[in-house]
Amino acid sequence: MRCITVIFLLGALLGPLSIVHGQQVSQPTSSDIGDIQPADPNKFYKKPGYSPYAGKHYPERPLFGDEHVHTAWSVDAGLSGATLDPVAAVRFARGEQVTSASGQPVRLSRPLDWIAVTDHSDAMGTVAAIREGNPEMMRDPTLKRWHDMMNAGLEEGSKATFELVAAQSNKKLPAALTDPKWAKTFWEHNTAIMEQYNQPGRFTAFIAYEWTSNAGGGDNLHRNVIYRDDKKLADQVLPMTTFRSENPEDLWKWMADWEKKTGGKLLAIPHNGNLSNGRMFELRMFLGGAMTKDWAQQRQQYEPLFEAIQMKGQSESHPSLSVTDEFAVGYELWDRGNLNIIPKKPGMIEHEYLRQALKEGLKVEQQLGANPFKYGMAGGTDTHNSLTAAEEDNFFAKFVSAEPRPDRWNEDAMKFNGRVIKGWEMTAAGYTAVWATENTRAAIWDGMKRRETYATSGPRMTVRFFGGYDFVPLDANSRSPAIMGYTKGIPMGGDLKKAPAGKAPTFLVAAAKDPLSGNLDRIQIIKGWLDTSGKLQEKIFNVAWSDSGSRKVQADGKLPPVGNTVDLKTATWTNTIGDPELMTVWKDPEFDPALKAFYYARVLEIPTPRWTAYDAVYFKVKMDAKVPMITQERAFTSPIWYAP
Amino acid sequence: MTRLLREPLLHFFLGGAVLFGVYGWLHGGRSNSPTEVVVSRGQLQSLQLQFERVWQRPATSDELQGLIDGWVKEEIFYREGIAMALDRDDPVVRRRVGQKLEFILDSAAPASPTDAELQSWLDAHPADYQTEPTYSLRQVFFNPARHGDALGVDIATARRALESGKAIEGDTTLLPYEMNAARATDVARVFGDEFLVGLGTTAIGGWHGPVQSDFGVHLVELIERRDGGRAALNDVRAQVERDLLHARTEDAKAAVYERLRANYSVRIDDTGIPLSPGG
Repeated sequence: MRCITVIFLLGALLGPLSIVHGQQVSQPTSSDIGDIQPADPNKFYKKPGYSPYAGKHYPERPLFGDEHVHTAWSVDAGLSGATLDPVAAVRFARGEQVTSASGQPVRLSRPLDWIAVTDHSDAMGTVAAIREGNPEMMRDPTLKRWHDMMNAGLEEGSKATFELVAAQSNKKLPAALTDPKWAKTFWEHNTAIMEQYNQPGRFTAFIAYEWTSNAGGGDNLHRNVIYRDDKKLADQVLPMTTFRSENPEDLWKWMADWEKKTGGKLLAIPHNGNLSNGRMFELRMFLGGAMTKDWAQQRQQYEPLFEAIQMKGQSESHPSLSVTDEFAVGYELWDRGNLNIIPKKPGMIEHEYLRQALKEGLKVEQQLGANPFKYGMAGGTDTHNSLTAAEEDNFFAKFVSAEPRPDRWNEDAMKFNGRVIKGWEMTAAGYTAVWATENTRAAIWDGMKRRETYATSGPRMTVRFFGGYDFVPLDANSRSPAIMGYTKGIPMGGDLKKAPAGKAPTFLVAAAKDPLSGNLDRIQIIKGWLDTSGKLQEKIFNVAWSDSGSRKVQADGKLPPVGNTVDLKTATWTNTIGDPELMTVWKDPEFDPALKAFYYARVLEIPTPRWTAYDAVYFKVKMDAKVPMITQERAFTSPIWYAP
Repeated sequence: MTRLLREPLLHFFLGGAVLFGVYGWLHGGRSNSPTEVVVSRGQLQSLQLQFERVWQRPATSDELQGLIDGWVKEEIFYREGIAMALDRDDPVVRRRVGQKLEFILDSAAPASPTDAELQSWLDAHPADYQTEPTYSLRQVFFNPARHGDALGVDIATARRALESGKAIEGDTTLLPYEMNAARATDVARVFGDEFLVGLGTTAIGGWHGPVQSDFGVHLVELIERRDGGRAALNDVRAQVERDLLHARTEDAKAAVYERLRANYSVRIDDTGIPLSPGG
């Protein structure tokens, strides 16, 4: 019995001890490599000798990863039956087979290069305690009820999730959930796991969390916070929670304080503007004040990327804002309400989608001298079951209750007071590709920071996009377009200098298909600008396409569809249409050197089966006619800006 | 003796003794009297630190007073509650205390294993640390759409030129011209599975092909192919150590439970079936 006494005493002092340990503030460590500044041509190879590959020092391969993954340690995930922890999430992303919470073996088609596990900082880790019936928590009748629901099966468990998400949105979370002592244990545990699985050169595991601000009752202002540094720095301060503030400006302040204290670096990635009911890109500060230059600069500094696509739909473009864009129509739109499905009012959608925000940013920059919406592109899954499975034929959905089952298409993916989003509306997406010089935290983070990134809806196509004034058509025929790109221009995410007299911007753009996915249909360049009368404009240019012998751009600028080989009976397609690679040099034919503008590339695959089609075949179910069964997978690059 | 020193349970108890010492220091001011509450310097410090870690600033004196008052109240209620035996048969208290014990066992990870121990773990689990084959290669790409019917002739011409030492660039592509010591999965990620399979039958040295891929066809010079196989400890030390420590912690927890369990006999009243110790 004596040893039990010892053990008991040990338990009693565990809390105080780890706090004392936290006092030993470690010195900031120096980084692996310095910051890579955008596109300094002098760093790259200039004059080719015999070998065009000698001496090159630029990112050679896009590194694919998911910057948005939740595990059972996230409150809403744990409540809805998630059991896989961050270790499982990382192992799965590294390509290992795991057994999902619903008991199904699952594996990625191939490993990812990196992952950021972003469990919610609010009440981080408390769900495990609720599920197991922690005494302090069970004193609260609501938590006790959730505990009972979670242990009563999947269906009850997901009801508990909906209640919890609503309670968080409405600021009615039980006080026991907000005590920081829960966070401390789990944060340090989390950072320890990331440290163990981060393997420089092979696989990067970022330290990260999600700050989940649901302003005003479900207006989605969520941000993923990604650390460039290691556990020693991350452990010095607990993650920011919305119990302290749901104002993004306070998050930036927290980030600034953290950087000052530790010498490390952070960036934040907002997501789901589509569920923000007009607040993600509103043209005012959070509390309603007029925008200031300082505010715009801070937003640009701390938020280099925006997550344009994920399982809860895309926020890149909306057909009501981009009326000439046939590829925005019906494409993964979650546009009926906010996170609580509170219906939208007129005027909200204008402040939810990135393309519109990129345009607004030009106007704000004109007014304030700084662009608050200078976002590059990211893609993530926002999965809540640890499984970053964004592949159409391998879709494990967002919650455990929607893991592969015959009925998942017709069940409720989200439900609040009778307002419903159906299972079939879930999007099997997405990933972020980062052009980084090596697979390390520092190199990938630096690539994100300089916005040398693109988002994909799931496939891993390679996309290069460079801007400059001197690209000529021959550059697209050179053996290695990337060498020409870095030598004569700047990559995606960068800024064009003021145009030399008489010159217009030229762009070298190239894409190669994902070997496991469909051929490529086309590359488009999307231009947005602020015209002489102060109006915001956009135009989509088809610049490279497959089967160019038979397909021609029409008078209205549209290109005929590439065709369709999808067989829904078998959920298959053939690569008999489309091309494996597309590349070209394009010069803006309508350039006005006096006007601010941005350009980004969108790459479209040929039509392939959507996840619903794979479900219909595998489970032999017939879905309603309104359910989309075919998709055109795509990539969006970070823009290149022109600001005279 | 060395065997004893490596015993996880011993580490656990030694660790416990150290913690106990620190505990004594932290709580040195605590009175033994049941009616005296002492807020020790250590306790005070820990309250302050806890505040600072959340708010990133020191507590003001008012706030500190609030923290102390809260702690004192909790301490008094806690003692009174224990005296009234409120903790007994409370399912949540039971579970919380049990969890705490488990958490400590998780934290009391054994010391760093020796090389010999790592090696024997590696030997016992070779499949977990299998290395992949790697390839060093150069390739010249031909886009069938650009050559049409002349593809075969053009490839043959290019191949003769390459064999005579001339540099041939091939068609424009985003695919890399060369890969150095690239793992099989990376080759497949870039060129696709078909190309990787093609490499399996390609001879080392000289230009061979055409090898098919999703993108088109390639002439390939395979400079080196290294077979995968068992990893050397130095290459996978960190992973081996991580996995070994994880297993040891689990074993240690199981061993602790087993020993504690052996001290008890369990009887289930309902059925009257006696269970053997440790059963």
